Amino acid sequence: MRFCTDTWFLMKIFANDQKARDLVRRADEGKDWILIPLIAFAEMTKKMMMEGISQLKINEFFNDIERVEKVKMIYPSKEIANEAAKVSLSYKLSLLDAFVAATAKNTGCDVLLSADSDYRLIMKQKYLKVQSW
Amino acid sequence: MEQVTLSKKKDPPRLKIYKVKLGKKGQLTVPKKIRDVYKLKEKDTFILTLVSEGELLIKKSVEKRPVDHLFEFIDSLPPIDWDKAWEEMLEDRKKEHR
Repeated sequence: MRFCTDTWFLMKIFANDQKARDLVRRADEGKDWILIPLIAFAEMTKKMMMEGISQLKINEFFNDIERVEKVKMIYPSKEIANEAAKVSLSYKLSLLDAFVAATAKNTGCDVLLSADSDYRLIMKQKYLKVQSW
Repeated sequence: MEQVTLSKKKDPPRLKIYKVKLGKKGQLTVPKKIRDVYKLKEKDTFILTLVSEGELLIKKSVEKRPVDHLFEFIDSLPPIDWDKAWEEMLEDRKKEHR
């Protein structure tokens, strides 16, 4: 399986959520892919800064997570940006949400891991499968 | 004369010996029984020491897997209410969308 993560999933890892951590372990064992859109990285970094976590520790977290076998940071391409604009207009999503969804679509992910209810429409219209717990 | 009672000693653990063949590409297969007992997983690393002619010592490397290092690092951070943080983030997203 190929999973694309919203910031929600990164927070779940921090919150010691068993399901989230099991998924990271599965990626480490080479069983699944976890793709992190750069925009989720930015949002998570902002939140960590707001919570008083030092830049050094933030860097350590992202270095560590990128060292896990099948975890990859996805940089926005022109195609992703174009898709994000379309998704934002079609499904009335914020550009941030649209970028995450477009990254998932563009990278061929099976599921977007997010608890953001704004993705309801894209799920309803079968643009993407969105999952949370 | 004082009577000495010998304590019931358990048998010492028996030395388990397994015979394995070296594969074409120099790979040795660790028997499943050992993998299960010591929770050995794919990509675990080992240190091979040549003790003497024909005697090889195989020791599991204590180097942490990146995933274990990651979780240990996260757990060492001060506790934060991430559910609340997520709710706040959703609010921020909505504000930015307006």
